[in-house]
Amino acid sequence: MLVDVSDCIGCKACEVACKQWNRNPAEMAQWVGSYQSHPNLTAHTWTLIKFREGVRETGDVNWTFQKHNCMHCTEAGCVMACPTEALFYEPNGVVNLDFDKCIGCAYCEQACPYDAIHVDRQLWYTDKKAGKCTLCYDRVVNGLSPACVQACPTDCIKYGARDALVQWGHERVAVLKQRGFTRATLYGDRELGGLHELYVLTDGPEAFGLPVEPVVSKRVYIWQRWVKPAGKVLLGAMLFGLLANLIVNRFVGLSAPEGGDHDA
Amino acid sequence: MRELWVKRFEKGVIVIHWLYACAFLTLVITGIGFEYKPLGFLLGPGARLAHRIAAPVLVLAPWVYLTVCRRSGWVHLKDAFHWTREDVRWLLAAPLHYMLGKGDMPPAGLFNAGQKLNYMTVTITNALFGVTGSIMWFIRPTLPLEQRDLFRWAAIVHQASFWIAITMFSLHIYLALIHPFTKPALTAMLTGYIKRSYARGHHPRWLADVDLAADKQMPK
Repeated sequence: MLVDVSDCIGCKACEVACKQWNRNPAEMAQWVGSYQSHPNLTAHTWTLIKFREGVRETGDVNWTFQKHNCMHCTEAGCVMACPTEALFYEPNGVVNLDFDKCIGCAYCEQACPYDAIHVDRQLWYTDKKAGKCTLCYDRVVNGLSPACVQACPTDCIKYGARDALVQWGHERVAVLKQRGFTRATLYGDRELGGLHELYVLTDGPEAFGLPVEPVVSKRVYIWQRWVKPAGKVLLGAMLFGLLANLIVNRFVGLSAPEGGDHDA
Repeated sequence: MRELWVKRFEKGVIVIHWLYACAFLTLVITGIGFEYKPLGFLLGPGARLAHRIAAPVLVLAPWVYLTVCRRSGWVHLKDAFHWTREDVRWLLAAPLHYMLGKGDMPPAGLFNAGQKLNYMTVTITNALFGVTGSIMWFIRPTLPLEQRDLFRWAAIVHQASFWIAITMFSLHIYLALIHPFTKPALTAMLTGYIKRSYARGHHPRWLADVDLAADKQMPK
């Protein structure tokens, strides 16, 4: 999926289409001080246009829209952190979520560098689940385009083969540069092993609130890739030692002598 | 000769020990799925609830113990964290002794070095479980994106504590139930008493202290 920010008019049709297709309930949210509908993505709001207002160097007003949702990273922090394999990669690169396996532990939420996956915080005893954009996997495997793509009136959201989108993105960036957007960039081509949500940006990523060099935190690696095997080795060594002890004890016929003061 | 018994632990200590054991086992069962994927089926809303009921029990048990068993609680704590050269010698001699039954063990007091190590593991991991668990339970919902390393650190320390605790736990269970030398001491956590002969063998310095104290209380 590719979002051409330069063609986005901020109409939020994608937000509505997303809610409708995925049967997510409407959520009352506080006014955030702009045209933005919700302060952030939630477990029931999977796509959100982020509105940013600023002033350009030329003194002009700078108003940007970024359709924010799961970036479908190739190196996804959420997949790494998920203990039940509820989060997984589809063959086409989409990061999907199996609700039946999800236990709502929110490790994914804590590992995502884009703040794009959330667990609902209803009452503590309810069955909590994570929620995020699935790139309408149920639609795309049936030959449809994602709901947001279908709804977009300016066709600024494009769905297709990633290579073709990357190529199209580069061409579009070149055009934008010619038109005066000197800092136009294609975002997502290389980030985190290559995102499956690409952006043609009219400015640097930082102007859209996107991390310039996104990384899955080193702490997520330590947590999931280092301590776990180290712990297993530690316990394994102990169990091995105890088993060896048991066998040797039997072999040498070790027993507590009558009276018990064998080592006094 | 009739077997003589000596009082090892007071009732409060025994009750707290088994309370702690129940809480610990509950927490292990409801949490191990995070660390070991084949046991992932143990996770779920019920496990979360059970984990959050057992967690305060585990975290508060040592404080109840220090409050209720005021006499022995502090004595135990002090003894476990007081290490001497003798303890190091004990620890070095232990593997061979408990493997082949060879070599003399340095005479231990109230706790031998192995028991001290167990006690320290339990108390230190308990504190770590409490702090990191609280962070993950109470602070997570309010953590903004930039501060989520706090949660990640908490998770790392929580899981590291788990692996250390479960490793020590397996040794603890082995010595309590299986090893022929230490198996007889299980009665200390059931009735509160151990055989005098066992105490003479395993805790000679402690037995001497107990006898001295008893002598002093005898009417002249």
